[in-house]
Amino acid sequence: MFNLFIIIFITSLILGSLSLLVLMLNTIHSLLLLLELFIIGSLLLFFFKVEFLGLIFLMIYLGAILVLFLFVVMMLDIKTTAVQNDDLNQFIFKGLGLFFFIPVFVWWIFGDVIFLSAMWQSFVQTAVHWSFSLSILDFFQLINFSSNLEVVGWYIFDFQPILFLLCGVILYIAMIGAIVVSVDSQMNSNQKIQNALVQGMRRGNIISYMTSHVDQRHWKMIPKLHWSPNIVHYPKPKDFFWTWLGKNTF
Amino acid sequence: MFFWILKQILYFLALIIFVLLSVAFYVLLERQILGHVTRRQGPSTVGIFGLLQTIADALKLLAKESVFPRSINTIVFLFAPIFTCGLALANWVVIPFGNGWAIADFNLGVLYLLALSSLSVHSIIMAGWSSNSKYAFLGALRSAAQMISYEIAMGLILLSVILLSQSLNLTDIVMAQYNVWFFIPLFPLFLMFLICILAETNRHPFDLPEAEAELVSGYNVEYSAVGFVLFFLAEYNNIIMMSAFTAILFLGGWNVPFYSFWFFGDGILRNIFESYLWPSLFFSIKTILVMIFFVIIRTALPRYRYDQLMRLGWKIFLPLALAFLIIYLSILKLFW
Repeated sequence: MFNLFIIIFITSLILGSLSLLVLMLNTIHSLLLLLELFIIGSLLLFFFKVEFLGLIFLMIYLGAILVLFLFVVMMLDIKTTAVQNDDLNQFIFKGLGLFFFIPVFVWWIFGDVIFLSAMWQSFVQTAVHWSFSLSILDFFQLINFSSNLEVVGWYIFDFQPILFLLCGVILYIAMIGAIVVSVDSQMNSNQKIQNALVQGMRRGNIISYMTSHVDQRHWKMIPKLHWSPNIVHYPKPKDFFWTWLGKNTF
Repeated sequence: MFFWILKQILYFLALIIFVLLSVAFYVLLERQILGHVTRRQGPSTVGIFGLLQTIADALKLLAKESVFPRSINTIVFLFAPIFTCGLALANWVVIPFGNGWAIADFNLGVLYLLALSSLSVHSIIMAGWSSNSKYAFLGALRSAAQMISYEIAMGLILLSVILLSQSLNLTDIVMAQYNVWFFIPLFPLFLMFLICILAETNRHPFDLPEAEAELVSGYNVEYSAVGFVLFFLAEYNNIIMMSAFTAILFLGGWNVPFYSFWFFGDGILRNIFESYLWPSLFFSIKTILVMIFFVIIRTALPRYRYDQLMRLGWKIFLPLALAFLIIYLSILKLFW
């Protein structure tokens, strides 16, 4: 009974914050609600003894994807978009928020009568049966006798390895696409590209001869007299003439 | 069930007291070392040898007026420091201080710590966005990007450790180092991990979030008094936690070096030394060594430029960590 209460409480929290998420007028607020939603969802997974999936949810969806969303959305100038304070809107989202808490209130008031009844018990049993026996192997049964990390690994690597590899290939294609797009835009623009190796060796030694293609100021043939940092002075014939005579003008 | 939950909460509260005390004394230690490296005296007036200096500072900060700028987003602004501090304290639940001395001897402890550190990025973004200031916002973006990029390299380094210990449980990882501490076979990864935790906790030489003079301090510019205290607490808490994590992963946790040298006598004396005294003592010594490493790096090195920092994270540490993972994997597959 305690477990059932927790499950109903968490699911109603999820539904309530989901409805708030959809109806929020400020985009950042709805993203922060998404954060809350994922934390509560992973709590639910913890409660089902699927700790590995819960933590992976936190790491991937909150640590990577939601941060990306927040970055993009925060860069937009949202405050200029009209924020409407309709009475109807307010009413709808408060009403919906309350609506999803109704199961909890019902549980508090009529809990003993409803949930102990035989009809409810059989309903829950059939619901659980139909929702979890669709897969070939019963995941929740497996968790009880081995760690869920092993179960997930077994599912992925022994049962569906080809699908897993295909997922990897899809991600790889997406990564290549992103790299191609960014490299193209970088090639066409004339922004300065940092080269740490060259910058670290700005001394005029042999390595900087070989590595620096742009800035050849340390090339001994270049006269120092009219030197300026942006223009490369190539030696003219008269420079070679004076060196040939043996006078070092450089 | 109820009493069990109550007992765990009481354990956690008792732990938090010691954690907060250690934060206070760590700040004092840092200021003393910084002072002596630069040939100054360090804090010496409040209490004996300046022992009460940090507590006086904290009292001063708490007694200050909390300033709320005019157009902040109040709820998020108030929630961000609480979230940060809560996450930083929640890390200590899975850290084992001795054999079985953890509040929750959780099977996926390493994953739990990684998940919490990825969550703490959000509190920084919240703080930066809700203060409605361009400096705070840019600082938040900077430090969030930094934390995310070093987290990936850190995760890959952790994978190599997990390969050797064959478990995600922190107690099992320490038990696997009974004969050889992991910093010997994984020495390059140990060095990389030390640099990664410097970047992950936003410390020198990667402390762009707290470049007070030139970058206007980052995401916590608008915070004063209690909010600032909570951010400060979370930061130092994270440093101590990461030091303990390093001690567990690479320095053998509570394992005692030169085992037979430290144990003498029979019966109850030996039992006390073997199972209580030395393990906790050596664990704390190792943790404090890594904490001192943090401070010495702060005194010795200048700050990185931002693009250099990103280059180090993505172009050097990530491929190196991947390469080491594959090398260790193939060595284990071939010879074990």
